[in-house]
Amino acid sequence: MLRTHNASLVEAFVRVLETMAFISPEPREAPVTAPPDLLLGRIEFSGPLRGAVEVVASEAFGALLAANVLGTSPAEPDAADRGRDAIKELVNVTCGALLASLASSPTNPFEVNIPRLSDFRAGEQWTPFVTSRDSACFDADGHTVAIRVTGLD
Amino acid sequence: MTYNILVVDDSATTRAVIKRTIQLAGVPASLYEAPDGHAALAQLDATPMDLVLADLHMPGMSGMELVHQMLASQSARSVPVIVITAEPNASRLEELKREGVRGCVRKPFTPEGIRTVINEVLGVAHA
Repeated sequence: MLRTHNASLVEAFVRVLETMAFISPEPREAPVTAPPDLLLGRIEFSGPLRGAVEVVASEAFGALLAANVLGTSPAEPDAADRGRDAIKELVNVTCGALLASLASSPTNPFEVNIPRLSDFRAGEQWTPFVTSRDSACFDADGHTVAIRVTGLD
Repeated sequence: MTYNILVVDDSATTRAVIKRTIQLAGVPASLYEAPDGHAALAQLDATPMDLVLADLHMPGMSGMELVHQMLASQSARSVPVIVITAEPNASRLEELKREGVRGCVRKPFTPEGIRTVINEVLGVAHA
C-alpha cells in the first residue's frame, strides 16, 4: 500500500509543479548529492490515513519557484522570503492533491495541518531521507528536489 | 465594469500569485489584499467590495470563520466569497457551499479556472 501512495505522491507533485510553476520535474535515481542551503517543508494530515508529506529543496529552488509563479526574477531582493513561502505552498498543494486522489468519506474526512518550514541539515538528514523507500528525487529545472510521504504504514 | 476584489491569505506570496492570476485571466479588477480574517473584515468595512477570494486554512480565523463573520455583518453579508484551497475532501467543498461560500477554486489553479469561477459568481457572461 505504501508503494501505491508513493506513486500517487509522485503524480501529485509533478502535476502541482507543472501547473503552479511550469516546471516539469524529471526523476533522478540515487545516489544524489545534497544541494546547499536546504529547507524542509512538512505538512501533517490525519483521517482515513495519518502521516505527513515532506519536500526538501534548496533556497535557490524556492526562489526559482516563487519567481516562476509570480513572473518575477529569482534575483530580486525579496526572493528568499518569497522562496520560503513558495516551498510551504508547494508542500501544502501537493498534500492536498495527494489526499484528493485517495479515498475519504464525509464521515471520515482528511484533516490537514498548516505547512511548516524548517532548516534541513544535509550532513545528517539528506542520505537517510533520499534512501528511504518512500522517497523520490527529482531534477526540477536544474535543482534537486526530494519528496516523501511518511507514516502511512 | 471594474470589480473591487479582496484577496485574503496568510501567505504574501500566495496573495501575489492570486492577484497575478486574476490579472492574467483578464478580469477587470481593483485588487485589495489582507493577511488574515481580521484584516479582511476591517478592509470590508473601509471599502465596498464586489468579491472576496479567501484561503480556507489560515491561522487564527479560518476562511470559513471569515465567511460566518461576513454573513453576520450588515455591510459584508452580500459580498460573495470564493475559497481558494488545497482542501482534499470533495464533501467538505460541498459543505462550504451549503454554509454560504459561492464558489471554490482548487489549488493548483490556472488563470482559466479562476476566471470561470469568478465569472460564474459575479454573473458575468462568458466572452
